[in-house]
Amino acid sequence: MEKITVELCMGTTCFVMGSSSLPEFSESLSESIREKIELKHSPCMGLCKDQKYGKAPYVKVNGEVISAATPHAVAVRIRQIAEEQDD
Amino acid sequence: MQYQNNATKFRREVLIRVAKAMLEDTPPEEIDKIPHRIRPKNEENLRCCIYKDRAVLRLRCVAAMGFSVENEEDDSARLSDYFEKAQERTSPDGPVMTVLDIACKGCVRSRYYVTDACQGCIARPCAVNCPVDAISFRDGRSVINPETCINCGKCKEVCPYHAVTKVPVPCEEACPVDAIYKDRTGHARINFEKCISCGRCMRSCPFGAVMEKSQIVDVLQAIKGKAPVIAMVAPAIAGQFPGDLGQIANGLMKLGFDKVVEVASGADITTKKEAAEFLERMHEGQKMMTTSCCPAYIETVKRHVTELKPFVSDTKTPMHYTAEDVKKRFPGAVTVFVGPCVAKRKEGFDDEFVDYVLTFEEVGSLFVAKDIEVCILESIEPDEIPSAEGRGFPVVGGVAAAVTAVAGPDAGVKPVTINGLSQAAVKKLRSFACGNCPGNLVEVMACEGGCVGGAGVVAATKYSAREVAKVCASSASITSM
Ligand code: FES
Repeated sequence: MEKITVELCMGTTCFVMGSSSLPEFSESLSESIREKIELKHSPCMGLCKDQKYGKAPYVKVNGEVISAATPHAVAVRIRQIAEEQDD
Repeated sequence: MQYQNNATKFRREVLIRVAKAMLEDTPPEEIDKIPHRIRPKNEENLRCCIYKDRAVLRLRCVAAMGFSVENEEDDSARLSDYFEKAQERTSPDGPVMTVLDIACKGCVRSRYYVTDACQGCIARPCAVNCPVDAISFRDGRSVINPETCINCGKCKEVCPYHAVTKVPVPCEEACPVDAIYKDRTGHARINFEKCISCGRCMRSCPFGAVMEKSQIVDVLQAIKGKAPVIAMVAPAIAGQFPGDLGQIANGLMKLGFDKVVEVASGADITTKKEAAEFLERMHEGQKMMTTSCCPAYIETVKRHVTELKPFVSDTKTPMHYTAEDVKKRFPGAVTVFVGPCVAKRKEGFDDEFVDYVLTFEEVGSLFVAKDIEVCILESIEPDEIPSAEGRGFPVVGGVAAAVTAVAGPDAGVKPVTINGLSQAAVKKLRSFACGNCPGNLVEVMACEGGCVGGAGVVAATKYSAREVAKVCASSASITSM
């Protein structure tokens, strides 16, 4: 089974900007998608130091940055990737 | 309203910028540009235009520097002037909350409204049941006449299509004591005689038009001074920042505090005194006692439900006992309470042992401004370990559980919890005062979920309640200490 890696930034900036609610992203996903997820918590990814990445909090899904991340936005991206993998 | 939202983020961004200005000795012309930095060109407008966005941000900065912003005398004053004035201030003052009038949308009076879902049925229960004949039938559907409507909500209750909706004024709906109202221009104003400083209006306004006056400038100024500055952290701090309690304490030391103490130790004193007081009161034949550690509740009793006064515990709050102890042990030290609570600021003004009060949101902003990466810091050991019960105070039911544990199984404690000081809860408290309380120990928490759901928190309530529980699980019970 192909894994989907999800890295939540738990650095200070991301946390202050709301990353504590991000683990909720999995609540809306189906069991089969959840099984594919490899969840990591990361200290500051360095993205907050650079305006070009948009705004904190940041999440990386398969290495791709989501800025101003919300549980919903993360779930949507994961679902897209899961669908692409199924095709 | 869900606590994570854009209004919250803007407030934090402003706090971070102001903190940075303080830490980095930012030149005045740069300070004046903070609104432009947060809201650069070519971004989507939040309000009508970029200029309004920036004007509101400017006012947010003024509040973040610790000033009231309603009726700003000179609206051409520069931010750098305010900044200078803030640094000269020797002690912060009330009121705690402030309204950014230009940010206020001026929501129309709270009303009921018939939506497109109306099918124009022939039963028309809305019109039939309206006690004041405010509903007529036009163009195939029901219409409410706002002039006659008395906002009773009957029509909403009876519509089989759920076609009637209530359009509230969020701040007025959130305020449990009717302290927020509209001035002649239709903008929100706070009646500070009535205000209990709970912060519910601030978190409920979808336009972020209510803010509290920050004390970050004052505290950073104190840290620059000679006297030792001691952070007294509320037990709700577990889970507010990534890392364990020792790492968070280390983060505070890096900010420049000279020592960090847990207010949970003060909570242990509160528990013991309150349990003894409970037993005494019951022995005297009293029917009930309420807790006293929630400052918004205490203000409510003082200003609105005076009939409850005789039932409120005389025991002081954990913040008070902790601050008293710190001042005794470290004469000349500056005390800074760090907590989830906006109303604690009011309590802080009134308590001789407390010099400043910061919220977790403010401390978080300071961490960001100073680039302190909490989750990779070393954990420092506390010199005093409070009890599990003391550390469990900030979650709903926690205070009652602590008092029950110390009072013992034979005390016959029947706890009742008020989880959130809503308008309905205030009514309930009134009825308790008239003898209609189903228990004998009433724990009141103004914020839903307890202090972990406070108006000044950073982390989601679910997350922090779990972290608080973890810390409690690894601490000894107060009955075994
Ligand atoms: S804290 Fe998340 S990228 Fe820096």
